[in-house]
Amino acid sequence: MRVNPETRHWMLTPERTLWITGCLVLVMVPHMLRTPVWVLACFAALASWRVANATRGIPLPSKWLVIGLSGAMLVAVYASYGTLLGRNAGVTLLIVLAGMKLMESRHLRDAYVLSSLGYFLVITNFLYSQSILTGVYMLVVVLIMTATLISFCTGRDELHARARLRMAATMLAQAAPIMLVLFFLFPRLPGPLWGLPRDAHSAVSGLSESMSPGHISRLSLSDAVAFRVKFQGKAPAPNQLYWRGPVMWHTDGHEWKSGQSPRSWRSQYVELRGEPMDYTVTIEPHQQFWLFALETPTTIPRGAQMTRDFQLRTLKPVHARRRYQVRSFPDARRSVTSIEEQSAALALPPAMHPKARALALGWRSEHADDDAIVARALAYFSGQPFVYTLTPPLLKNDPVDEFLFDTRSGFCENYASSFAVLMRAAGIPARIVTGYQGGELNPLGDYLIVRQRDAHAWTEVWLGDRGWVRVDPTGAVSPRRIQLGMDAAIPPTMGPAGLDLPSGGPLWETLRGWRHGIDAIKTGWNEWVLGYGTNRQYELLAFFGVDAGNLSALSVAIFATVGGMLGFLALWLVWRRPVPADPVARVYQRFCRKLARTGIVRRGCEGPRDFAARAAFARPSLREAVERITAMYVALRYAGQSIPLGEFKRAVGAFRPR
Amino acid sequence: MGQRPRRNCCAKCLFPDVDAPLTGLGRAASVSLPGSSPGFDRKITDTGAAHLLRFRRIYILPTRQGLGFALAVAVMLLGSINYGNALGYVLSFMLVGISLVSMLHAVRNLSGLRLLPDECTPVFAGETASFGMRADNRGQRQRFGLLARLSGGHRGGAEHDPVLHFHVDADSMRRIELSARAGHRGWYSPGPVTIATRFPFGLFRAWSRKDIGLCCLVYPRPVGEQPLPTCLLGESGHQGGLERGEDEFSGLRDYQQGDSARRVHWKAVARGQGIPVKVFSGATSGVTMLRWQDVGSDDTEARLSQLSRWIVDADRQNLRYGLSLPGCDVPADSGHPHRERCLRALALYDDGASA
Repeated sequence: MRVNPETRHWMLTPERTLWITGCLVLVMVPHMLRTPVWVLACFAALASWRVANATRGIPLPSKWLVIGLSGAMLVAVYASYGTLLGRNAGVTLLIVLAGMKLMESRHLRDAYVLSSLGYFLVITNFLYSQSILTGVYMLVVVLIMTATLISFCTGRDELHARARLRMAATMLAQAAPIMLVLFFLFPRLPGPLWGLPRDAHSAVSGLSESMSPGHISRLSLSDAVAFRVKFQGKAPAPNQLYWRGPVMWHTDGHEWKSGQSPRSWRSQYVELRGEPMDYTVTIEPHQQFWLFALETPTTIPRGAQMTRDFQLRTLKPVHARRRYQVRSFPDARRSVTSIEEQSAALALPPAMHPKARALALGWRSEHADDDAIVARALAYFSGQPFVYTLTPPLLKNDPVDEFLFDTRSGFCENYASSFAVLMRAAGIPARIVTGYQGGELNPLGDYLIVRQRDAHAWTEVWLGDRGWVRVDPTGAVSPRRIQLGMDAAIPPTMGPAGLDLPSGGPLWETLRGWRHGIDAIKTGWNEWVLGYGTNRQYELLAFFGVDAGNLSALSVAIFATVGGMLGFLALWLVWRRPVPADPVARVYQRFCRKLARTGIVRRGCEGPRDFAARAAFARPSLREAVERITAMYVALRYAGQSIPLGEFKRAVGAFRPR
Repeated sequence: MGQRPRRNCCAKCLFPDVDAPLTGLGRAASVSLPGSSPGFDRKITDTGAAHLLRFRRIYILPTRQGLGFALAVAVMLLGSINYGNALGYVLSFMLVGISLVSMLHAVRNLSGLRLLPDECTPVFAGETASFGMRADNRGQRQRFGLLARLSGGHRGGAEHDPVLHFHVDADSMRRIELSARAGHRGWYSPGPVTIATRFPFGLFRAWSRKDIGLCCLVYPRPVGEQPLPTCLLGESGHQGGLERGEDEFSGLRDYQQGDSARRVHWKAVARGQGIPVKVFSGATSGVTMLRWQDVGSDDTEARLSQLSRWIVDADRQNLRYGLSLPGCDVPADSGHPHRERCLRALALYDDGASA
């Protein structure tokens, strides 16, 4: 078939092919680490084939071969994942389809399908990572994709590659305000519209509903951020920062479990005392049901409820980063009114911990007062050679007795569970609270970062009139852990893995400073980009007096703002004086602008010499400079003389009329 | 792009200036036309407002690709809502943003462009006329990916793609040509020009229609079986035989406007010796009169076609010939301008019946 030169405009020319293939390759790069190797090989082969077709005219495969290959790849994807649905299989399928579409694209309309597919693949990357780095990389990819769209509409003789990229960048910049308005005003729905595939959320380490030896110490190896807190007013002292998470009531001697508090328990009695504390927590998704708060929370965030042991539990797992505000009364008195609760807090597994029980009963025979028994137990921990360590020796049969009387070295979970067992044996109701303790204050953002390594376990005992009182046996062994945080007790390993820097050194301090800076940026990113959801939108819009729940008001606001922006942009595009293509004219325009600032404005019809004469007349002090620059301009622009452009630029740059 | 080869195989294509006074623009000064557009009678120097593509007269609609793109963005947005993916929102809204911005750029790509009619070589009925236009781009803004089409023109077969793609650099003018098949003799106006663009992304098509008064003179189709009349009148009283005016070569002279291409001494041209024209001594010796009443037909159009045929033949043979129509006589002469003058008289012949 003879190709009419006119229809070339609708064909996928080699140049356009290279653009679109390049885009697809770039958007695939981050995926390549996540997909099976054969996908990488197939896509690379297909892309190379297409590039060879564009540059050397190697023929494309026939239609039947494409269909056959597509079928084979479909089967291969199914074989790899066992399904064609879900996040991982879906993304792989998209990659494979893009490769096959590349093989059969001959017309521009195919190229549009490919570019839509390309943008779609950008979004699939965000399902895996939404870090700043990913965002920046994808911005570059989107820029190149947009330039590719421009290449579909212009020939190479009209715009070269760099000009297309520049034009794409301009348009993205012009689109950015619209994007921001839509981003902040578009109504955010709290939950998924339909069921998410099972692999939508990757597993993260964190606290769980149960506590067994070694669980929290494993967490302490992770530097991952659990949540960030911003206090209204001064942050409390580190040893007051007990972030309550799951509360454990039941033990089988080895493991502690939270379990729902029985329905029959009557509501808690709380006496609010002392000064309240207000703070905002931005929690990282942990796929579990609880939110963290200081003792004793009195506000309940959206979508959460308070249990009778003062946990904040969400109705759905925390799949997305979210912010919530809490008001806590640290000095509140928490009381118990039900017998069932007391008996649950006294239960011990039968025939376990005989030595611990004997010890506790001994204390009970000496003291009638519960407070004295608590003090006695803490004195036991601080008086005996107990060691606080991340790597306790293995406890085989009876973790409590072996820990208390043999090994005597353990982590907070060992101390907390042993202490609770001792208390229960002595007849004092006790429960274990897991959560986080402390946190690192980031001076740059004035907020607290709580990491997984701050995970902690402590106990609460019921002391009659005083209600539930927190007791942290770890503090008796390692006061530094409680007062100065985890870093002081067991220094973190910063720097590359395996390279332990001595803590406190100058390099360590520098790294710490950088880490704070990076975390401040990340916090802003998390708070305003990733964590911007239903709650944040309500707060932000309420600040501007708009109710985010009022959809009609919201849509009016969106249309009005976007329409206004477009109108403004249209006026600017039409009326803006375009920058002259000629560098000489551009420099001269700068000169005119400088003069205009002093009140001498060049008229549209005025030639450079007339203008110079008028300027020199109005400002005799500038005469020499104005005449010199004008002479250079006239020589460069009209006489075609070879004065170096740099000299002209310098002369205009140095021109400073006052 | 560029100029298409013209169909007429005569001196015109070699010396395009030859017939300048007879073409589109020149007509405005001399002839008034029934049914011509109002903008047509303006002074030809008026290249301003009448030909400007105005912002308000530019329309815009999404293309098929644009609708597909919108669908893709909608799916992306739905996915972002479902997964609560913040960067997904950012990308979806960014794509909405660039689509909206691209509408403005598409309109601006057309707005402010001036489209002026340019000369158009007369053609015979049934041939394809090439309508010249000048896209005048004042200002510093380059215009990309423009498409021009004759709205009312015959959408010819596969041979003639009716859409022309072009671009105009900043502060410059570009000549473009659009073809349409000429139907009947007389002035042929192909109607308004549609000028469109899909720039920058091809998601929207912006267009504007402008009647810039394009016009082409269409000669009667040169058909007829009757032989060229041999009635020869000696201009100087001498009635000779079948002198064809090409008998005796008498020398060379410089080219003047109107000389036939057949008489150019091409070998000398090739040698770079200017454009010499051969002069024949017999060229002025006889005259053929082509007369309305000599055509053996009653149908006006058939008569005009026959006369057109005779003129073409006589010109080919380098005869001196004259034309005599009811109410219009063209005195005997030869050469290209004469041929055009005669054909023009045929094209515009009005016997009162058709008026």
